Amino acid sequence: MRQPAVLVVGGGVAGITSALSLAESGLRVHVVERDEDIGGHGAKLCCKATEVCHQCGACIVADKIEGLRSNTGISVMTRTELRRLERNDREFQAHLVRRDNGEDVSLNAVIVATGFAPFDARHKPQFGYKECADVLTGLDLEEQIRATGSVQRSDGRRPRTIAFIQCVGSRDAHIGNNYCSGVCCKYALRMASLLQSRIPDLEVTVFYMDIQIGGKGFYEFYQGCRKRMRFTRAIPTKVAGNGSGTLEVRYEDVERGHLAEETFDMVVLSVGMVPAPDTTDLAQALGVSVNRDGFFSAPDPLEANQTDVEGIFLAGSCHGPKDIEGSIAHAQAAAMRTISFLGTL
Amino acid sequence: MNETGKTRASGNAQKVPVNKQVLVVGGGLSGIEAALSLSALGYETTLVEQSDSPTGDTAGILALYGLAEEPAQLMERRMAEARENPRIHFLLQASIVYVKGSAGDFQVRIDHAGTVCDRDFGAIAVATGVEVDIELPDTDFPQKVVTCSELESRLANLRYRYRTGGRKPSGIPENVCFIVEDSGEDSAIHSTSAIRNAVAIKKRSRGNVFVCCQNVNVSGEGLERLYSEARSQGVVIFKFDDEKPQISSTDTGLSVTVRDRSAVAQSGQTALVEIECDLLVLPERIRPPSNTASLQSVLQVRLDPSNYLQENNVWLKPTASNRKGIFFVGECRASFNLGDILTEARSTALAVHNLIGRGEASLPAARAVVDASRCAVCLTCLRSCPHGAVEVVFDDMTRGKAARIIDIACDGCGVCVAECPARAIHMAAGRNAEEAVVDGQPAQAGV
Repeated sequence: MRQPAVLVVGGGVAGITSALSLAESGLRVHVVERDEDIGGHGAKLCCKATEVCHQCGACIVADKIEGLRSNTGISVMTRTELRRLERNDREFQAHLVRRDNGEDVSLNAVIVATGFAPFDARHKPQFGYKECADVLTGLDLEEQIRATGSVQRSDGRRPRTIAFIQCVGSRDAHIGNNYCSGVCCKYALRMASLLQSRIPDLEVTVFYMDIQIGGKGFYEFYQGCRKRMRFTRAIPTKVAGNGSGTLEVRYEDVERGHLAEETFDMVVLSVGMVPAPDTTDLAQALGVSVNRDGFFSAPDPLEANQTDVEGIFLAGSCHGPKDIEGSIAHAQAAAMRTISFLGTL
Repeated sequence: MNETGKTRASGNAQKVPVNKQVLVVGGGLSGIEAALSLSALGYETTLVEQSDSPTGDTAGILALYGLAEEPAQLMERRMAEARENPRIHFLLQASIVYVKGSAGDFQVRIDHAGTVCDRDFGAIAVATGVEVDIELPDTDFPQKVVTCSELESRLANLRYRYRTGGRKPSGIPENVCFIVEDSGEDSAIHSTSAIRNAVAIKKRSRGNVFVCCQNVNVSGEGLERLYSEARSQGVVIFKFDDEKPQISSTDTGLSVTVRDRSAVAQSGQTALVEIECDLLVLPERIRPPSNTASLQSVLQVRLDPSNYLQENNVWLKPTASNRKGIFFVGECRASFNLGDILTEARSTALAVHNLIGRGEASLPAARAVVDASRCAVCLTCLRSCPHGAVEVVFDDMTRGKAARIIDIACDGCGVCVAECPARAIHMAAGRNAEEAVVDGQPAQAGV
């Protein structure tokens, strides 16, 4: 009997993990990826090790990508999109489109692993993103460190003071994102630590509401950060250039009860995770629903991989914000549920 | 060792037959979820639980998870599924005496209510969870101090009475204050628990509810909304950093003094406020079960600095132990929130499936091989192997004892190759370990 086939939609870390797990169990796997290449957002991250590994997971993404590339049993279609999914009896028919060429594939199950989009910081104009050259997002900083190994200001000098602003696009009911992205505290503190190890006299200020403690060893790491960085419990109201090459950050100093203004060489916006742009369209094509935050919905809180359609499963941050470790575990659970489902056919 | 230990070549990789029975150590949520997931993949599991209930001692712990669904109901739902599942066999009041063998072929002795029984398993999932304890502060009003789970069970009781036609509950004190301090634990479920119970109290009483905490945990589905709800219901939240709230006794009861960052006095300084409280709620500490050390020695796995079980690699293999075929599920390796535990139980089931699913396991391509003629049986390799993959056997060729690498358990790390004083071990790769293609270059002592 021919082995059942599974379609994995999305070739980021979650999709790759699911695909590898399914292939290891002997199933036929197709991965479709809309972009030029597999890897997703995870492939753009930099290693944040200082003298020790801080478990950011960036290297794991590289491993997973390599694992998929070297696995000849999995068919990977890049620059390909899923346009339609039809169910006939016990099979799905997926209509895939690659550069205007359509192809129909028969499948027994589908794993959705389309990931997230980083919050577009321009939607918070008060932070001056794209207006001030030294205001970066966390992802910009990742890419800069990945490319150059360190960080520099737009005029080429090294920063001496840097501010991280947390919860940009998260925990913000005004813009409709009434959830915590759960990853920004971790990536910001790891990145700040990395920069301090590269630039020894760098002064770091973290503007925050609540630090999200979670994951083995993070609490201890955070306590170490408190000794080396200044934590200010406030979210700034304004970031602007001051004409002399530095940035003015205005915030409410609750300890003293007035507005404070401080100067920084650089500002990093810890942008959160929002649903991938075409989530609603894809949900419609698949016949599944999205939740109130716009991510793919798993209606039963105890079944985080199960959509409202039998045979269609969720993996990774398309279901809601997740870090790399969380995406991998979630994607493995999706593979497990898929295998179990295929066993009942 | 029985038949299953012997290797045979088939196809590309060498294979060994494996046992498809799985042992789950520990009931409770993670153990039950692991057993259910394994069952969904077609495996028979034996679930060993030391208490006399399949749920284990979860009552106090479940209270801390902070869920949309009530923890007790969730547990009931899962338990009902597990009880009716013909592939899950419960052994209650049972504990593990010893474990021999290796992945695919473990021989386990179980003490089952005083009777010893021997069983064979292909894989072991450890789900021993956590314990909670608390040292309540010494006050003049001990009856006014409760733990989070005590409060939760009181609230559940009130709800129960109300539902079953009792009078509207009036047992909630006027002023309730929670103090939640970050305590070095890996998860922040205490603050979730406090916020959730604060909302629950606000919905039932007109009294005042205060939550003093360092960081509100909102990372998890629905938690930011829960926090918003708490504030809109009128729960008063004080956040503190290094300056901790002080508990003191007054003539009539307890009071908590905390700095209010939002109220600035005329002096330009934030003010200290004093909260008279009729009920003070403090979280339990979460810690590894007291018998973790003995379990560790029985399983020959490792502990981390906080005495949780140490996973093989937090990222690459979070649910794998240092020994192949032994997996960790849920809180036995760190404190987690509930969703992560369920996900992890499923991902462990998948790892078990990929190890033993076909009834045979592929041997790792690169693994260590002992040249018995050079082995002095000094046991250096046995002691230094991080994966428990070395045994001492009678060697037919040399007619004497020699170390031997248990192929399936070898992780190919090369520690034994480096450590062997007689340079009797080398790394082999390819189909036949005997046809070594990589000669081990022994590292210098101490490197």
